[in-house]
Amino acid sequence: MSITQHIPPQAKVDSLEESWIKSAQQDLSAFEKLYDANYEAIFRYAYQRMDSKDDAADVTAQVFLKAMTNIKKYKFMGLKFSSWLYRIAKSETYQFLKNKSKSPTINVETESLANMAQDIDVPIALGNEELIAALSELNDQELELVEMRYFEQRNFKEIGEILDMTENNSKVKTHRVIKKLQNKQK
Amino acid sequence: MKRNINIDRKPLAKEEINATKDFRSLASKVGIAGSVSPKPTGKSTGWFAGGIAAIAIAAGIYVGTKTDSEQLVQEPETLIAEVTDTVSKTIFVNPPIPEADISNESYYVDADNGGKIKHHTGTEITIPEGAFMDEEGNIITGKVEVQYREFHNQTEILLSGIPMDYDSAGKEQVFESAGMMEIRGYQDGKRLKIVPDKNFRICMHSKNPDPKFNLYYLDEEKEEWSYEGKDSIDNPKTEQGSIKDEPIEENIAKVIDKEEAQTEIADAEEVVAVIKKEIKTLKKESPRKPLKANPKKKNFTIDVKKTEFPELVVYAGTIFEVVDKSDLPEDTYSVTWNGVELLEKNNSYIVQLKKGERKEEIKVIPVLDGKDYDEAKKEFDSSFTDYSKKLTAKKEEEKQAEVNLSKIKERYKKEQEAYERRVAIMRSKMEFQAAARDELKRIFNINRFGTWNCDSPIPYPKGMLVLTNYEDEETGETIEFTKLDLVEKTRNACFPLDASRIGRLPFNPKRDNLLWGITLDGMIAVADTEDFKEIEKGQEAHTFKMKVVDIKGKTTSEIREIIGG
Repeated sequence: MSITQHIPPQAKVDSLEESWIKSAQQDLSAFEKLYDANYEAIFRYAYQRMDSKDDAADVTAQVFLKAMTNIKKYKFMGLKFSSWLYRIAKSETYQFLKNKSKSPTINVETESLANMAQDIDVPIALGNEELIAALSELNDQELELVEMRYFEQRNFKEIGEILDMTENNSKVKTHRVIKKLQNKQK
Repeated sequence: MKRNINIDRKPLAKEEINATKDFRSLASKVGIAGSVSPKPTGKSTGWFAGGIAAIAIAAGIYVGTKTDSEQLVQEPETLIAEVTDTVSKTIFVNPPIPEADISNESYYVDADNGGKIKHHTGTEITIPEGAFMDEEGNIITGKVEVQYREFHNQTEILLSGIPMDYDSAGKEQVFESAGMMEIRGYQDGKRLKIVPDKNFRICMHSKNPDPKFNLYYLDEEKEEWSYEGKDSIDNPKTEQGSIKDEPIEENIAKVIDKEEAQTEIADAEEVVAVIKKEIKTLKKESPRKPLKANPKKKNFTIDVKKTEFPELVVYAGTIFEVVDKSDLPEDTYSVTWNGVELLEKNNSYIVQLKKGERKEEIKVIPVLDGKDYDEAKKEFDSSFTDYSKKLTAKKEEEKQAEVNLSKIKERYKKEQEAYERRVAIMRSKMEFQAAARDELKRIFNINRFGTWNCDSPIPYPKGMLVLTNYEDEETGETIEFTKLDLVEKTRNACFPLDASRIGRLPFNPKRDNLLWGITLDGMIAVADTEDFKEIEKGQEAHTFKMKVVDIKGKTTSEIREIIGG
C-alpha cells in the first residue's frame, strides 16, 4: 500500500489569455486580442520555413482563419493556445508549399549554427558548409526539431507541445538528430 | 526533399511584420466584418480598441492644456502661452496621462549672440551665435525660446510616453537610460532648426557614470531611434578613481551582528558568575582548623545522657573552652543542669545551661586536646590540602573565565570601533559619491532639435514566463490597459509589454520587479515586488492584484513615491 499526500485543489483562476479565448469562443470579434498577441510569433514561424515575406503573410492569415473557425473546438487542457496555433501553422506551411510546388527553406543564422556546432562537438573552424549539407539531408521531422531547438531557441516542453509529443520524447529525438549529425561529420 | 538554404537572411523588424496584419480582412471571411475595430496604425500597440481611443483623446488634451513652467534666462517678456500651441506631438510620442507629462522649462536666448542655459538639474547647454534657422533655412535673429526637459528615472520615462524600445536587427530590446533630454527651439510660435555646423554643446546631468551608454536621437518621422555615436563623461572625482576603488556594498555586508555579540558576552559573564558562586560555596564549606585546648583557660565538657539530650550526643567529649572566665559561674561544675543548649551566634558558640528558672550563657570555643586534637589536626591538614587545591583550581578557572570575558568584550569593542570607522568611511564615500553624481555630466553635441538619449539597449528579462491576469485589488475587476510596462527596480528602463507579452509575461525572478499599467480611464495600476514574489517556480498562471491610483494633479516626485519607482 502506498500513501500519497493530499493536496487540496486550488481555485482555478483564468489567465488573461484564457479569458480572451473564452470571449472569442462566444463572440468571434473578440478573437482580435488573440490575433494581436500571437500574430508576430506565427508569422516568424512561417517565414523561418519559406523565402517570401508575402507567402509567410498568406500562411499566417490562413492559420488565423483556421483558428477562428475552430476556436470553439479549442479546450485549455494543458496545451497552450500558442502551441495549438503552431500546430496549425506547421500543417498550413507545408500545405501551402505543396500547393504552390515550392521547396521549403532552411534559414540559418551563423550564430545559431555555431551554437549547434558546439553541441554536436564539431569544430566551428571546420566551416558551416558541411553542417548545412548535413542539415539538408535530414527528414522533415528531424529538421523541424533542429529548427525549433537551435534556430528558434525553443525549449523542449514547447517543442513537444507543437509536435504533439512529450517533452522527454522531444529531448530524446533531438539528441538522436544531434547524434546523426555528429556521425555525418566523422 | 529539395530545400532552399538561406544563411544570415536579414531579419524582419517587428514593424514589417505588423504591417502585414489585417484582422478586418480576416474577420470579413468569417462574417464578422462589421463588429471589429479599425486596424491600428504605426507603432501604437493595437491590442485594445478602447486603448487606442483613449490614446487619441489623451493626445488631444495634451496639446490644448499643457502649461509649462517658465524660466527666463535673458529676456523675461515673452509669454510661454505664445508657443505652447505649437508643440506638436505625434502619436509616436504619447504621454499615457497627459496631465502628468514631464513639463518643459522655457529659456530665452538672443539668437545673434547665443548663450548658455543652466537647467535646474545642473545641465548646461551652450548655444553658439547664429545657431537658429527657420524651416526654410533662413537664419533667425533676435529672441528665441528654447524649451527643455529631462528624464532621469523610470517614472519620468513612463510619464513621458517616449517609446524606449529599440529593434536591433530583429532583436527586440529596450533602452536602459543614463539620462534623456528633449530640446526644441521656437520663435513667434514657429518651430526652429539648428543651423548646420552650429552644434549645441550639451553637458547633461546624469546619475550613471558607466561608460557603456551610447548616444541616440529619436527620429520622429521614421519613428525610430538612430545611433549618434558616443557621449563623453565629465566627472573629475571619478577620474581620480575615488568612487570605483571601494566596493561599498561589500563593506556594508561586514556589519557585526550585535545580537550575537550580546549573547556571547552574556554567556561568558554567566560562566564567570557561576564560578564565583562555586568559590563562595567552597569557602563556606572550608574545613575548620581544630583548636587545641589552652591549659591556662577554663573549660568544661558536657556529660550528656543520650536518652535526655540525643541532639547533643555529637558534642560528647568535646572540650568547650570558656572565652571569658567571668561568664562561668562558680557553681557550674557542681550543679546538675536539667537543660543544655548549644547556640551559634556570630560565628561564636554559646552554651546555654538551664536549671529551673535559672539560665546561664557561656561563650565558648570548641577545642580538642591530646590524641583527639592530633587526629583532628591530621584530618584537617589532609582536607585543607584538598580544599586548597580545589579553591586554587576554582580561582584559576575564575581568572580564565574573566580573561575570556574581557577578551570577548575587547574583541567586540574593537569590531564595533572598526565597524564605526568603516561606517564613517562609507558615509563619507557615499557622500562623496553622491556629490560626484551631482557633478557627473555626459557631454555631447547636437545638430538638431528633438529627443536625445544616453542609452544602452538591453534585452527583455528572462527567467520565468507566466500566463497572467490583472485585477483591481479593491474591486476584483479585471483591468484593461492602454499601456503596461514591466519595471526592474535596479535598471533604469521600462519594458513595454506588447500584445504578445501581456498575456504571457516574461520576467526575471531574481530581480525586484514592478508592473506599471495605465488603465482605460487614465489611472495608474501598480503590481509591487511582493506580488511577483508570490509566483513560485514552475507556476503556470498568476493573477496580479494591482493597486489602482488616480495620479492626476500630483507632481512627478509624488507619483514616483506612489508607484515605487
